[in-house]
Amino acid sequence: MEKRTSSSRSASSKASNAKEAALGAAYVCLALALSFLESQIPFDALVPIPGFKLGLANIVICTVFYRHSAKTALLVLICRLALSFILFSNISSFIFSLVGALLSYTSLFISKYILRSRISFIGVSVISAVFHNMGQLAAALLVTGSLSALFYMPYLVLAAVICGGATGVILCFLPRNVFFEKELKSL
Amino acid sequence: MEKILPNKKPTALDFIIIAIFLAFALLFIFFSVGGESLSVTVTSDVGETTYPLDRDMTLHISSGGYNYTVEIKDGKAAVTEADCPDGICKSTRPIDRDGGSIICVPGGLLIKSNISHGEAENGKADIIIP
Repeated sequence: MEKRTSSSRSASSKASNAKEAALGAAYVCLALALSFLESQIPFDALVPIPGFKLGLANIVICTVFYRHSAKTALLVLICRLALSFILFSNISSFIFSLVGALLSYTSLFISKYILRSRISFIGVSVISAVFHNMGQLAAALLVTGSLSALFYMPYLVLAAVICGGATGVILCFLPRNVFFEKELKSL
Repeated sequence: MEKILPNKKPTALDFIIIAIFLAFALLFIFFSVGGESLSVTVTSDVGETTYPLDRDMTLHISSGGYNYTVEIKDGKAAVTEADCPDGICKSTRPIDRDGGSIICVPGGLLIKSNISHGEAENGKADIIIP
């Protein structure tokens, strides 16, 4: 009798693991699709900041971090970066993206566990975008070994406030079930 | 397990955070403006050379296996042609009297302005934004 209970328990945990893996893969696909979408928009012609991006993939990372877990968010983030590196970019932009993304991921802990419900997704997204850009700037400072890149700092902060604000507004108004809310509940 | 979610509606703290970042960026821009850009220094893998900004010229530079064309015209320096993989240096804002820098990471090329900060140190600003 006892044996049967433990085997049915392990079967249900296996099913739950499989569900989680499938959900994680769906999140990676979504994040990658959004990265690809924004890579198709010629921002370089509109904004005179090198490597300017909206950061749409951050919508997925924020959602996973808040509605799922920090661990899944980190896995989705790393898979997304690795895939977009293989598909569309080169090693230097990968290093820049990695430093920026990891710093912006760290900022989510501050937003979730310190600022909690005192801010909305707009604040979460703005803080995360500012951290992301500061990470990229730090990478640029390290790679060039010169302080000249500091010239871009205020413009990067401005860009982060605008783009982070925009993605934050999207996050605020997204219908809750867009990101597999029902599937999450059944896990 | 307690589910922590951010507020559903924008809060006052959101706006305070945005205001702090904006104020920081604007103050940084305001205090870094000033002085006159006299020359640009080009650093490539062969060394460092300084060129005046007030004389129009076209430079052909090789660095890290890539070839660049840098044009100095009307007091502005910009990378007009480059065969580096990402081409970010070509879309970077030209260097002018307000300063700036153009960095090409793949080729290790760095072009930066040499601003004399005399005006800024005297506490005078070029323009005051009300």
